[in-house]
Amino acid sequence: MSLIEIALGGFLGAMARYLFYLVAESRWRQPKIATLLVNIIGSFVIGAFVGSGNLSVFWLTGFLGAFTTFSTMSLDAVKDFEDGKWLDGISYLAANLVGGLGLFAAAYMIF
Amino acid sequence: MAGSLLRAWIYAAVPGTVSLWVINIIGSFLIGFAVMKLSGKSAELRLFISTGLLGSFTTFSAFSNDWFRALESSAAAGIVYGLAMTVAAVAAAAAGLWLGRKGVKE
Repeated sequence: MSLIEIALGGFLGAMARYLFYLVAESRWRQPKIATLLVNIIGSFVIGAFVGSGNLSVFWLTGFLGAFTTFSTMSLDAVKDFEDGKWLDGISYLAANLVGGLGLFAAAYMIF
Repeated sequence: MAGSLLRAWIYAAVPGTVSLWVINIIGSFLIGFAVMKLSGKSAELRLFISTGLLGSFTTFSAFSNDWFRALESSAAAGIVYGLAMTVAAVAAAAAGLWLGRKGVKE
């Protein structure tokens, strides 16, 4: 069935996310920025797919599911909290949540 | 790849919207635990487990979708959904780090 599509999409999505980490690490020395970028970009793209009625498992469950990540975001926030950087951690989470939702809604309505 | 397949398996095994909670909370716990347990291991293994497997297992795009749906039904339901998922996952990652660290000291 669609297992191959999910596996292939997941592989490509994870690789695409890794490219963002490499760029964020070398440009800004901040891998956190990569997590924020993949999450908000991925939310925009899933909004476009869902808004246009395209529910391809290759893209939704496979690529975008693996391209975006919740666990890394949680871990990044916990590291900030452990360092006592409460404001950094909370604003980082808020940026993911508000950015992700806002871009999802925008794409959903446009497409 | 393996992370996405595991996620698809939980989507199929756990009905409804509960599956995303299971995925994001367990995945966040495990990434915290893995960071501690794998701290002395090779960079390749850490990259494979944390960025690859667990990063792909959990997902943000489906969360944005579900959160938007919850907000469509009511503003309160949406805000509770978004905040509760985030707080639960962050708490799970903290618990994973804490448990992993305990093991390392022994």
